[in-house]
Amino acid sequence: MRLRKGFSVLALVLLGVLFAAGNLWFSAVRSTIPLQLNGRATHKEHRLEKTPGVDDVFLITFDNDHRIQVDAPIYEAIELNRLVRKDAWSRKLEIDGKFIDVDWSTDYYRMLWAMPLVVLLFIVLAILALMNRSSSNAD
Amino acid sequence: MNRKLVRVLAISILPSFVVALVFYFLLGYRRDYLGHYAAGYGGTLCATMIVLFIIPTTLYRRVASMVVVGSTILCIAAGAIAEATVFRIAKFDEIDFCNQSLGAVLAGLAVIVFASELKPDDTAIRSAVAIGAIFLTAGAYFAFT
Repeated sequence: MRLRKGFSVLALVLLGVLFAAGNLWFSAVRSTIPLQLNGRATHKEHRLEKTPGVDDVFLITFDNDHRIQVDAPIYEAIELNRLVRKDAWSRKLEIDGKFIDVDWSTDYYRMLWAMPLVVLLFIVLAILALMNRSSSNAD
Repeated sequence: MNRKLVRVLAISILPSFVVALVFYFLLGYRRDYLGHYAAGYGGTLCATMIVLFIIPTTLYRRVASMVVVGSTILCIAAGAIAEATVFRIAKFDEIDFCNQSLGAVLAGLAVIVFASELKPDDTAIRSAVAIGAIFLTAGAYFAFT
């Protein structure tokens, strides 16, 4: 019974860490910084979400059919039919031989603060759950 | 109000409210993030409490924590399907999915804290379901306004 509860708590904490890391990764990747790019932009699409102007989605498709979601400044910087090159984790984006600097988004910077706090709370709850087990057994 | 009910109310409200404040103050310009988190929390809390209500008292202590994990994973999967179908407006948003799943995980952990040893009485279960429904409604409000 102890083992089952310990496993359950551990499984949930690990899931929480996974989704917190997911938030960091997906907000990071929209800056293109972690990505390696090499292709011509063939299609750009600005899609509206639930709150237009706030949660809009910016998509760029390359000639190798690779489609990425990017932050608004990247979307504006890349024009159609331009050759886009970038090394993974580089902050320089080459567009038709000209280099522009790319930066992490506000989302990413805020997630860097928010996600560790959320995970910390998961850990506190996990400790409470395990302490609860000990006190119940003591009863 | 008895002590056990106070404990259920405190654990089902306080941690989730603290996380909501983190979302509000650090990511408040994206109300949909807060909305997805709150909806994931509320939906999972409701569903998990209903599932625990069904478990026979004789089996309860042996299976409760595993049932909570299973129920949480099912809620995360249901959230993924909802995000990919009825709530797919521009595209499947991975960050919305992560936020609603964080809410689901928090609900699972909170339920293990207050309900894995002894089956909560009917009043406690009804109270937790009501709290879940309030979070779900608040989540819909923040996600769509």
